Amino acid sequence: MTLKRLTPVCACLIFILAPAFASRQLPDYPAKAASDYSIKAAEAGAIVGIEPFDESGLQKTYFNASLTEKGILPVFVVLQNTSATDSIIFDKSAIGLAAPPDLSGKENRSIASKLGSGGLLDLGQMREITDERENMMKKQIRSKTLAPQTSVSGFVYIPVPRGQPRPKIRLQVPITGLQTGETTVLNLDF
Amino acid sequence: MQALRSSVVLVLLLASVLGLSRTAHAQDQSAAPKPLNLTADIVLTPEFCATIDKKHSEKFEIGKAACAQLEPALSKIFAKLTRVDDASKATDAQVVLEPRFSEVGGTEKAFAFSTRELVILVEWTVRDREGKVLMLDTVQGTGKRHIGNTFTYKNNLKHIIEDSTQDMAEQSAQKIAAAPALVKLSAAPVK
Repeated sequence: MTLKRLTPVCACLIFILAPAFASRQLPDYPAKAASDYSIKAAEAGAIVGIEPFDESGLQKTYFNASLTEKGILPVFVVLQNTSATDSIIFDKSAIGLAAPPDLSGKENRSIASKLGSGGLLDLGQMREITDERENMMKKQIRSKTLAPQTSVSGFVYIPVPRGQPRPKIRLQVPITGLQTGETTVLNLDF
Repeated sequence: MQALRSSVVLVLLLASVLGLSRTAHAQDQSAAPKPLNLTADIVLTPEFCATIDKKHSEKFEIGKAACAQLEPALSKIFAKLTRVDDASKATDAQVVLEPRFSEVGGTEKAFAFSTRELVILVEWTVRDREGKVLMLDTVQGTGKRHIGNTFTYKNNLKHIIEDSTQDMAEQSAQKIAAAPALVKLSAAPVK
């Protein structure tokens, strides 16, 4: 094949294939009812169920990366308002760990510098522009006012020490009644 | 035939080299939100309007673009909307709207003609006159553009910021107008 003939073929291939690489989308993790999770807590007209993504296979499917190798444990959270009449407020920035993880050691320095409120990973501290970070951001749980019988779901990212067995974690999920203004904390141990 | 083939190749090459600055996907055309019979103050602080998100070697001036677009977008859903630069300067409006940038994320691509995405998450807190929270919600604004080459990069960056903040402003108007607590307050007789 001559160079003359190859040129249009190459140009067409670049034009067609490049956008395909650019728009690679990872699937969203399907949420179940909060009561269907094995780790759950219920109080004050709300139920929260969680699923820690300890398996690297799951992480690769939904994040295209092995996050625990980087010191990040993704935990899927489903919060459901079970009340028939009252709304609840879920503030993402109030969610956190009961005790901060031990991130001493050189190998944990990078992740220890990216902690946000409540000892969780603050994606805002990750200054790089990568598809991985953007995907984590899109899948992260978001603040929301939950009308009766509605739910919100998404991931929180918990820093864990690298190269060590995962420590026991207590995740605290505060919720506030819209009418009462009272805050209740739901605790989840895993 | 030879001339036609050469023209096609030329167009394709030009398109790939210049990285045409068109929006990759048309924004969702959703129905206009139903206006609320409420007066509101929107708190756009100088810090919020000056927000610049720095990622790697790039700077996204999202605050400036957001402040230019939020007021016109939200004025359509309120009987009266007043812009204030501090929550303490709120007028006697029925509700006070406070936006906060929650996250900003983008993708980086290798080719000038690759489509990149900019995602802006804004958290809205809406309070009544007494300061009671009526709504806390997150809105996502998305913009998609080609990265562009040396000549078009700056222009494309400006447009992707405008697209994502405009989308965020429109989504904000939709979400606030549909908030059950605000709809209820809007329907209540004026005291």
